[in-house]
Amino acid sequence: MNITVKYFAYFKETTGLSEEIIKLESGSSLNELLDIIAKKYNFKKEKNMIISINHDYAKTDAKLKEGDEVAIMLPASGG
Amino acid sequence: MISIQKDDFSIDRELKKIKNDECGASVIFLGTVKSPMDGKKVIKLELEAYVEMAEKKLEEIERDTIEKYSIRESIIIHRYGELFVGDNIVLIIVKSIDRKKSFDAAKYILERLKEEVPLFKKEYLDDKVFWHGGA
Repeated sequence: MNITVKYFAYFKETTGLSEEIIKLESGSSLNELLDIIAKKYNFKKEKNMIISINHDYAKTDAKLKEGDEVAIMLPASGG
Repeated sequence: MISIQKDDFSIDRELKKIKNDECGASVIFLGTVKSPMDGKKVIKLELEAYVEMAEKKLEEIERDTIEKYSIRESIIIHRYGELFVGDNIVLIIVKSIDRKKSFDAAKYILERLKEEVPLFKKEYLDDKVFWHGGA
């Protein structure tokens, strides 16, 4: 399945990407996606990484499905 | 009404959009870029937004606020892009018939906005550059 991954702030700068498509096995979890990304870009998964799926904050055990949009962000700092 | 935008806003213009003579209590919160920050001179900010999600979260916050505080009218605007000291960042206006509810509602919106709305601040100080909450 294809997952669109969007990167924001520090993560956009580190990857040099705003977004990319990552192919995963059907039934993969967010955690499995994060393992791939962390390895690919040498991120520390747990460090200040906030994740959303389809515009809602998500926990790492969430299951992904074809076409999901995952965003990798820092904690919100607006206001 | 909510907006995530690059452009500046005018408080007067926004107030006129939600004129409601039944509401005697309008509370306005305006957030601007400040300097110094922790004793260091601020050169500028860069605010990045995940616009689609930020709009969704602001709509949720606005809906919850209307329900919780009986707010009649509201506007929440947050800017993104490059901002300099003194520039407007965020505007919250709430109107109701009860001043306590209006004050509480404005505070509630601001606190949830800071926690939940995906906006990311990069601070340029005179001796360093860093992302808030950042890696």
